[in-house]
Amino acid sequence: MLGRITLQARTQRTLQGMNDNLRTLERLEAQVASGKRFQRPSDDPARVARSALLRSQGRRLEGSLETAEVVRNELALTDSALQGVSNVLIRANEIAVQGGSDILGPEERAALAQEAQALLDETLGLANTDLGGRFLFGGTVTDREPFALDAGGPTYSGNDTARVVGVGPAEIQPAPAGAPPFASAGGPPGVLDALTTLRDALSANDPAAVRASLDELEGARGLTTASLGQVGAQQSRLDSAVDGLQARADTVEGLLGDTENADLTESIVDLQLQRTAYERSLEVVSGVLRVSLLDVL
Amino acid sequence: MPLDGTTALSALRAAQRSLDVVAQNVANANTPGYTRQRAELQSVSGTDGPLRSQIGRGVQAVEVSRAADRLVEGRLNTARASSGESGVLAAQLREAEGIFGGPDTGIGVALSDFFATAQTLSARPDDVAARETFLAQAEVLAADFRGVAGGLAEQRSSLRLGVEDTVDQVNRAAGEIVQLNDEIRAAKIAGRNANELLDRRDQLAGELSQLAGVTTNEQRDGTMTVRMGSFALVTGSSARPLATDGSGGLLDGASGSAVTATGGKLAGYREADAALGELGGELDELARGVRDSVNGVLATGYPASGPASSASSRPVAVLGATLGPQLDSPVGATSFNVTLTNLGTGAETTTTITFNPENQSLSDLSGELDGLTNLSANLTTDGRLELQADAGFGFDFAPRGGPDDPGGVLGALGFNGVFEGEGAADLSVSSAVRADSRLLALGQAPGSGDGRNAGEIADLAEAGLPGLAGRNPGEAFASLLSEVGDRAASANARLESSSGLEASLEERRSEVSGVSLEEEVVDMLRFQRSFEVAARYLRVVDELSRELTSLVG
Repeated sequence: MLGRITLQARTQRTLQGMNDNLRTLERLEAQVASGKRFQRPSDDPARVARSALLRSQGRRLEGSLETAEVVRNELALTDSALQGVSNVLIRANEIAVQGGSDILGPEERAALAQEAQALLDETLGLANTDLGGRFLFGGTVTDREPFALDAGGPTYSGNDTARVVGVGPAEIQPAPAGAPPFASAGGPPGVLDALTTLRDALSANDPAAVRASLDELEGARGLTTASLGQVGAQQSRLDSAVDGLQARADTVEGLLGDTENADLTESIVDLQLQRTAYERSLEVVSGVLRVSLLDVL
Repeated sequence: MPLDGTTALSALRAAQRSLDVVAQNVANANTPGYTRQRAELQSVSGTDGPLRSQIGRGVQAVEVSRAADRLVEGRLNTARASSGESGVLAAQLREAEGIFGGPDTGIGVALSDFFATAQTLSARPDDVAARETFLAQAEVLAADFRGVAGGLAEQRSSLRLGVEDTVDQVNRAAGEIVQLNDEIRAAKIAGRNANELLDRRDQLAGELSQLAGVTTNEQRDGTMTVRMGSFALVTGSSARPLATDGSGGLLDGASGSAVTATGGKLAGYREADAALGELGGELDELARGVRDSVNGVLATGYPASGPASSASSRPVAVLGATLGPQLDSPVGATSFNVTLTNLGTGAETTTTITFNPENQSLSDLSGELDGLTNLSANLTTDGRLELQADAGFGFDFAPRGGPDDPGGVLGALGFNGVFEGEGAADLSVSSAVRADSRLLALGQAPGSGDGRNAGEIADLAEAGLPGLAGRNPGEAFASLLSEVGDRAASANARLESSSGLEASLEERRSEVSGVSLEEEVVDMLRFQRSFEVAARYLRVVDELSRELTSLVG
């Protein structure tokens, strides 16, 4: 026997059909409104997991890029401090050449000695360069001034442990660690040593000693140039690390977009179709449910 | 043939009876659970006499039957049970999804922010602001873990209320079925019509199926037996009460023995509780994995505040027993450096300690540490290992290029730890570190600018952790999220298919048992006509008998 058609069965079926329509409509509306493919994990669990992973990767790359900025600032400061030292040494060299000349009188040498003292103070300031209270040239001892001058010459109270910051795959050293190039560490004299020697020779009005200090100044210049070279090398390592990180961050960003973003054209077309279907079903329902045998009897 | 009109009278009665049934059907066209009724008509055969036996004596409405289909009814109840079950499960898991959040909210974001802050901290370990940011981010992470764990716990306790409500409803329905059983049996014995009672009882059986996934059986005496698996809820005129054990479990209210729901909402609650428990367990694992790995890195670090003068471990239950099994973190054979620093001269003495938690106890470790010059180790009554350096000395576990506790014992004991707590529900940031960020052991050797440990913490974001089955924290969270989603999606799919089946069976039921107004209109016309014609016949009889009477007169 074919099924009888009863009022209840008809109402149930119609209601269910309309509910299904409405549910699809709601899902598509949410998709278009948010621009996202999923609103909650159950909409597409695999995609949600991928998106979570990409987000955590992206955030980590972002963190690395932020770190790279901090390191870049420090490297720039290190670089400018060492450039300053180079300039000091050029002037010191001129003073030494001038002061080593035998035709100069004691007053003129005393004046030059004062200038040498000024250069020494300037260099000490550069050696104790800090970035917001953190001293750059003391190795991992960053909380106090690493260099001081006392009667016996320059002293170093930092350590030899280089500060190393990981930026992506690269390990960057934002500043040289240990006494050189500012002070001697048992090896050739540093910049502060050479300048002290020059000042003392000029104060002592001893042209021969002033001439002799030229060698020390030359040695200190060598040390400074070597440090500058190291800083340059670190900068280029940092640049290539940042390029790599940036490229990866862009890729992750792109993948995240592909994973999360809904295809708007498709969603909107689907939404329009669904809306039309829903409206038609409403019309049909209102027409059909009204029909009754009593109307024709 | 006598002109007595008995046959016509029976036709009038039958038509009237049938019209009554039509009226009842039309009146109940929209009553839930109503089963269409029909007056069953039977012709009455002639009684004795040679001529009479050839012509019947009219019609009789023998009974009013119900158009019920036991088979459809039974299958519908099964479908109700499974849609009740998957409905509860789907609703609960949907709520859980909301608690966990998505890839761009909650724990996922807090985790990656935490590791990213550690990364920036590695470049500026001596910057107070950077340290505070790192600690604040650690607190956000801990709070997010607590929030999700708290949400799950709250949901599980509201689930218990749901079980209790459902059990009340089950008991009420069972009580009503018992009452109906009695009335129906009595009606059956007296030969009365019990259709409305039967409708009500079927409706209650449907409700019970949805609530508790029961199976029903009609006995020969008309009573209904209701069983929940092997637990007989209703037998004849007695009901066994169902009770709860206060933690979401079901009990036989009479004997107190445990009962298992086999379907319906009650089974849905049980499954949802189990699912939430498992998800909570995985969340705890993730929280512990992060806690152990971060604490493990910091344990062998050198704090910016310098060597410590004293330290205290987390408590252990049995001091003399093997340490490993007593810790909730994975530990193994290990070695680490202990350095004692003379705070006056800065002179350092470093000793390497080896320790195997798989066959040594906390007492053994205490003994080894106590043997060092200028350091004393004590065990407290509450199970802590306390270290105290002599006056003018400090100690630290920084590797200084040596071993860094690969077995994770110091981290598991909580030295220098930033995270505290047993799981996600009570994960928090150590108040000592929070009060003084210089206690963060960010270096691996003396020097405030050493941020290598901060870098190592940042690297944990991409390291497979032993506590997380070799996955990194991001992967572990992503897979937790997809598990939540998978469970919710499959519960939804189950709900959709079972409610689809329920709807189609419901439709099938109303095809058989529902009232079709068209049909009733047609029936009404039919019986109206037969009433009219029977009445006409009575008039004919009346006229004929008057004719006869006039002959006599």
